[in-house]
Amino acid sequence: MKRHIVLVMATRIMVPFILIFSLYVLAHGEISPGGGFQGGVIFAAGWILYSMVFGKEEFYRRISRNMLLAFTAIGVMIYTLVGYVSMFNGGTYLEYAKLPGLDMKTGNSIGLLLIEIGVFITVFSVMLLLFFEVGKKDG
Amino acid sequence: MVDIINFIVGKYNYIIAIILMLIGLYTTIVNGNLFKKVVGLNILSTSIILFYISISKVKDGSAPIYSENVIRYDNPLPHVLMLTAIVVGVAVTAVALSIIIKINEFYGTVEEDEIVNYNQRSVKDREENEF
Amino acid sequence: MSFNYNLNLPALVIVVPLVSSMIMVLVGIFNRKLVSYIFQLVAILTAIFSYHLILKVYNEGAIRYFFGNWAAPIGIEYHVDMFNAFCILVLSLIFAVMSFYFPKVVIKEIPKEKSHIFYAVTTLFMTGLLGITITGDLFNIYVFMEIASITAYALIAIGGKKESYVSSFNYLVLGTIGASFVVLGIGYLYMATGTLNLLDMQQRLVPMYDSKIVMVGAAFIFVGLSMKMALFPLHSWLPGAYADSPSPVSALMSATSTKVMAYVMVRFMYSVFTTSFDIKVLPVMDILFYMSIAAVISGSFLAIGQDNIKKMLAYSSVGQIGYIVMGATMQSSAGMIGGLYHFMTHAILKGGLFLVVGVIFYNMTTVKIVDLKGLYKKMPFTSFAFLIFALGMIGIPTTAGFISKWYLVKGALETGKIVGAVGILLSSLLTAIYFWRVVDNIFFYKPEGNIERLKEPLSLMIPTYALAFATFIFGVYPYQVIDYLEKVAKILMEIGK
Repeated sequence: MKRHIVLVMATRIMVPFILIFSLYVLAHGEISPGGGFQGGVIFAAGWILYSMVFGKEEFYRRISRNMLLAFTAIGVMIYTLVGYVSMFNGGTYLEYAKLPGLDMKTGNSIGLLLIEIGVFITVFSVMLLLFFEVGKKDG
Repeated sequence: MVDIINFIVGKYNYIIAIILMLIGLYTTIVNGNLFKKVVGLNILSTSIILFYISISKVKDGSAPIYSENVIRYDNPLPHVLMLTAIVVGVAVTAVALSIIIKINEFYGTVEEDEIVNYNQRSVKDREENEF
Repeated sequence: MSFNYNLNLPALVIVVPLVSSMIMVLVGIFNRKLVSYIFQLVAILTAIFSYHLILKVYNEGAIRYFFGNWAAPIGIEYHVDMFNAFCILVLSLIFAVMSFYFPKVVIKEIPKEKSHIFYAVTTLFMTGLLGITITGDLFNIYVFMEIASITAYALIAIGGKKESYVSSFNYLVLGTIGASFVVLGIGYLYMATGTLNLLDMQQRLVPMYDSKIVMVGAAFIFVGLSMKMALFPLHSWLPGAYADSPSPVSALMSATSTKVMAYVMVRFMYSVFTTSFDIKVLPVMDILFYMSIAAVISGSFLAIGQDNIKKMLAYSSVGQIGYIVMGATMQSSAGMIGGLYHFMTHAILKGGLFLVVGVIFYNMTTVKIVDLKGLYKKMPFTSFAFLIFALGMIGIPTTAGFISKWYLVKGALETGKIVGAVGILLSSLLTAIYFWRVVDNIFFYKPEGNIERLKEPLSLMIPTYALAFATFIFGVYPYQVIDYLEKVAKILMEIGK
């Protein structure tokens, strides 16, 4: 497949910024619009752009399909793990204030960030899986 | 007459939501094409999202992001709920599309009546083979 | 600062299956065999948690569990009272019994590379159903409902059969419309009251019963729920969904999913709207009562005409869900007990019947009734189990089906709704007719071809006979459950008076 030089160069320049921007959206989720879900979608969009230009094989050379599947599980597990930790620390499920070493204020922001990271991982891997699996030709 | 105009102007958001919802339902029910059915479902869920967002508006309210010189905020809860509903909509669409792809693979069509015909034909074939 | 088991019980019932479904995906990438053991472990753990939950609720009264310790109207609440503790126990016990049945059938019916995904999705499906039952937040009901439905669409289609994709798509369209109606109705209620908490809404709704917003919301919710639980005129998705799915899926779904929607309906009818809304504003219960009679009779009629045993059982489910709704809408304590008892009975019986059909399919790869001729010679234990469940469905004394029908008829006669009693008796007759066709084929026909004993693996027989045994246990010693349900009915009836 012959690729246009403008397309390739523009993608090469844009993809890193898209990925960085998604992390920014993730990190600022608790005080401004954004968060794990939005960040994850942007992150996935960056990779989708990449694989649209360079091909799916090029993408799967970096991250295998099983790894994406594992990421979906890991994201949800991070989320639930935060809940379990607070639960085993004497609180109720997802009670951020009861996370070890944190109080009400720091717990809320750090606990929220941890959860958003979990959401982020799940969302981006699910989005990529959807894109590749629904879009594949051989069914 | 004035009453009717007042009613329409005062409650236009609900009317639009319901009209959209009916368009979605109509598309889902009437169209034989499975893809168009999915589009109808998406319109249906979008109408509900619009409905929720419109009821969250407070008069003179600002977007629910904390800032210094804002007195009134919109109700943020429906926004959060609709974020969940959007995710659900994405999941339903994804499942629907992958099922349609599989249907197309087996039946060679995404038209509902052709699928029904296919099933009837296969039943007839089987009966003919038996006798 | 240590783990508080008693405090966190309501959360554990949900989050343990949730996290383990993800663990299954992760483990399945490396080792597929291990996943089925994790699956069984999770099912048993969930059953233990829900048993402890019901004990706690019985001894100490209703539990309100606040997620992240955010108090009620702000945070999400899990509300467990005697009513839903019972439903949770039934669901998780059925899940635990069936989990032992699964591995052998899954190897046969599910493509090998999908088996770990199948277990994970099944666990997620149960998480969704348990979540619907346990939660005390209206929007959460919608979210869990969608979790359960989306996984159900996937489970129906996972076997790779051609027809199953079409059935799954039909279910998807109708299920999504139903869920959208429910969430729109919840939106109307939220607009009127400004809260999503179940108990909070119940109190805030009382002065607003005359409001049109509440009325429209109620209408949307009840129509949506009827769609989701396949109440008679809206049942068209159900036969395909049950008949074309792999047999473990149809067993689990038929035993749990529509009943959970019936639970939600009762919840809305009694806990959110209370009986006085029904009497003053919108006669929901009367409408649903007559619809349920139509469901009971027409479901049985439709079942008579089927030549596919799975489809016959599916149509019979359409009728049986009518019993539960009928009991709930009868407005009498006995009717309520009957409906709730049938919640359990039908889970046992229909689950058991589909397990039997699964065993037949496992050996003979057929679900046609004519192919069952002389099955008694080939698979005696399976045939006998079928007979037990069929008797239970008809409602012969000493089976659990008899008790629930007894209370339903009693409730109908107490409230003077003779139509209900006639409907139940007529439907029992029809049930006898359509089960007799199958029993006739199994026991009284000479088998065609050579007669050889087919394998009846122990791991399939034990869960089946556990349910068959339960049919008799709850038919002969119903007192404890009835006592419990009497209290439940009393609590539900008294809300809002």
